[in-house]
Amino acid sequence: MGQYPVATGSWSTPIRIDPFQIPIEEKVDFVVSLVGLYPKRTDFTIGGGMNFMAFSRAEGAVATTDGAYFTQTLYQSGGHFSVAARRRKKNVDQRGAASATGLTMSGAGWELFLDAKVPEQIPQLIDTAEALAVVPSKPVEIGRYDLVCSALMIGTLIASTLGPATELDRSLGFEANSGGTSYLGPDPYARLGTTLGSPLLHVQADRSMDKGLATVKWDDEGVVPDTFTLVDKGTLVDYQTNREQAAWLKEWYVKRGQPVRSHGCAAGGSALETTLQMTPNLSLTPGADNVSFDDLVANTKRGIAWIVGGARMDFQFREGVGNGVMREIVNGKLGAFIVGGQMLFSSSELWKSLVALGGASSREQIPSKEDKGEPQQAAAYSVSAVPGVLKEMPIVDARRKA
Amino acid sequence: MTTIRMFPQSVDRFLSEAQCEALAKRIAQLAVGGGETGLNVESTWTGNIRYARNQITTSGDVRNNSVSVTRDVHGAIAYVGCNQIDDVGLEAAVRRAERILLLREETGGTMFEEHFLPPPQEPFQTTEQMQQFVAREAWQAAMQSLVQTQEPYTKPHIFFDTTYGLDMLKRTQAVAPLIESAKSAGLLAAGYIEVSAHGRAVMDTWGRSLYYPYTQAQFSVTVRDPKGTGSGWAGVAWNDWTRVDTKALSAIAVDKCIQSRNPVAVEPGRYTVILEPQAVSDLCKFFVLWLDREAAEGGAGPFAGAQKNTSKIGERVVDERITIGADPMDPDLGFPPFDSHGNVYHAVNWIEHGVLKELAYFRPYGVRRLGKNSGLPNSYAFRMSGGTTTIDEMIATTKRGIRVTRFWGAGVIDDRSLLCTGLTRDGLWLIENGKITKPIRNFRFTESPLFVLNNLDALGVPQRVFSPSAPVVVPPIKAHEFSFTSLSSAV
Repeated sequence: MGQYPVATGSWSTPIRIDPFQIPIEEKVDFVVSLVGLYPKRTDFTIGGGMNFMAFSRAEGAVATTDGAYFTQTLYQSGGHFSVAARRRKKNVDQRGAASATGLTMSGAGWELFLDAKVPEQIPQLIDTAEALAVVPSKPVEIGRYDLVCSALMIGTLIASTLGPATELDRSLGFEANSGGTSYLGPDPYARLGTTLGSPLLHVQADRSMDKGLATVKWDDEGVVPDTFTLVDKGTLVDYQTNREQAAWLKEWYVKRGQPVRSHGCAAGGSALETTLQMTPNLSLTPGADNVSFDDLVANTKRGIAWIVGGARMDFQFREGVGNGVMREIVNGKLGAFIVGGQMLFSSSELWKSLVALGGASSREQIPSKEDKGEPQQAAAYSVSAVPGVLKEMPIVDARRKA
Repeated sequence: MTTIRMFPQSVDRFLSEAQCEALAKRIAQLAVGGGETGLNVESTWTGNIRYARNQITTSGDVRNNSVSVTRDVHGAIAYVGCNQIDDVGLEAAVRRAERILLLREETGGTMFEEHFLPPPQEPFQTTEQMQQFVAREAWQAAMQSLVQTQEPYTKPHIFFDTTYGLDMLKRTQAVAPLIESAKSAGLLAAGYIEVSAHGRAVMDTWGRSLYYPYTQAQFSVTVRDPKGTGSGWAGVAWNDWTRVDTKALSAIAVDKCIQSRNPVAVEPGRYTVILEPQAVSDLCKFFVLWLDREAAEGGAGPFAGAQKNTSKIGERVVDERITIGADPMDPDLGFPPFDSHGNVYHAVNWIEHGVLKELAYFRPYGVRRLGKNSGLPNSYAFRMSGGTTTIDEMIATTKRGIRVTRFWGAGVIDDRSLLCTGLTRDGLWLIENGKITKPIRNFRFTESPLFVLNNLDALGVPQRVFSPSAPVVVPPIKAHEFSFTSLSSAV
């Protein structure tokens, strides 16, 4: 299990305001007050509101035979506020919706809701919702397209491919009977040092990200997690590990002159569950140039923008399909919504198709969750991602049968 | 007085009926400000053992109490959950519920109705939304039913001391030979045994006092070859551990692994399929999930009628050989006779000879809209009728087709047609001229269970499958024109 400094003391997620010190009455007032801010419109019916607010405070104590004894209080807060615009014109329902930024589930306290400045966002959200309501829709035309992905979608793809696939236990087959194995297995030594994607793909893992959902001072085995590189400019160089697993990669670490140490990825869903290796926070290094999602769209002559959605993966995270809100891009401008569009991808080809990334100012932090183990347990983590362009991805009709 | 209900010989790892009654009494004493008080309990002991790469990795015993306190003052209802059953925990929950009630009155009595009870105005976009809708409905129904008489319920025999008695030593002894059989074949086994015993209670000051003990047992195993070129699986869930034949299931998984090694690619397309019972269950569970009358009459899902506020009840929706129903007293299907909110499950045939006969609803909907005096909730447990054709006979009569072990990661992508997508997993074979000729690479499918149940060629003997949350008994099925849309290289 290795030698580590003995963990003692206590730590708390650095929050400004404990959400449980805010009475539920004040939270309700906050939500109700937002609805009062909708301006009167003659054209559209404006609806929506705070779909949910969620807060958690988990107090944990860990003691080990190393002599470690420490306590941690971990906070998570988040919500979803959206505005919907709707009207009926010439017998056609026109609907649009827009969501407030700054409220995604984070390792934060009540201040998340204050800092998001939702009231100031509302006029812009309504404008956006109304603008989207009149954007036409068209059925998907199958083919290959340059796909401009929002930071949310790039983050989702990382969480759907590299996140689970670089878990060392999964790649070795320890999860074979539940969530499955990994396309980066079954022999990690045969995978380490191989190319996973374009040189733009540089992915680090940590448990110290500001507001990260997996952020802790110590992991559940008393190890202070380090920041480590999983994918170095397109090359796989490491796996996620806990104390037991670190030794399994000893030869690789020695060869690279790296210490053989746990990356501090041990976590349990609760005290009722066995500690497992769980995914830490993941960060995709932004592109060098100061490029935004809009810039990436403007640089695309013909393509598809993938804005919101999700990916369904196989049980090795090897191949998947991506669905959700897509819009066509024509001569650098966003056009019609595409109905029924579905991206087919294999994890290895996907990341080799990555040709452009947004800059640091386009970075977003995306909440993600991993289910693992028997009995199944869940652990949350954050992915820091930027928008990106995937070259010539196959787009098919999700609803078409063979 | 004798009772049909079989109580455990001793209860020391989950709450007994007497303990739940004492808790209900205690929270009624803690209530302040009049009104009514209710308690829901799901008290559970779970024992498990897990192995992977031919070694035992974890084994655990867990006890937990999921307790919910309901307070109703002047028709306003609040509901607070906790897992702490000492006085401090219970009092905190009761106070919290009373505080929410106050808040509800202050906000004009709309806040919590909006939160908990949204009307089904929009068709559901996802299966998850559908599940959330039904969960809220169950709660709403239970709340609205409180002032009414408790419906009578049946008493299935679903507590087994063989399950409750499967301690850590016995679990370890069960696993050891399974690991040996994989090891001696040069393969890697990963499996899981879980047994649990539960006390479910719904007790309140309106006069309801329901308690039911039950056990669950599950076993599943995945066997892979060390190079990762083949994978086999088998599993089952029962209430009674003695009905779980771990050795036979392990042997199936080993055999499937060996037979599935080095699969070859065949073109995606429409194929005649022989679906093993597990695959039938993996697909048809979505069919059963959508058997909801309020959703259908609200215009959502595959069973919505052509006219507003109607459903397809009375219409033929699948092949006439198909009958789908659920009865808590079915000895191969036993499940608790009421849900965790006290909504009573009745014996029902949803589909009879292909005709949609019933859709699920809760009691308030039955009283309000259907002129009935009871609800017909969906337990998601189901039995599907079958036939007598064996899988070998199905293969023998197939010119070109595919045998499917199971589906994985399936989800609904269109709720009207119930079109689903997902993957095959752990054993897929090509059948040519009446014989299995080779293992083939996995597929992603895009297909609807409605379509499959209308394209039947043959049905086998129904059997219990791996469905730990709700028991399922289904036959193997041979059907034509099944749509495989793309190849998958996952093994």
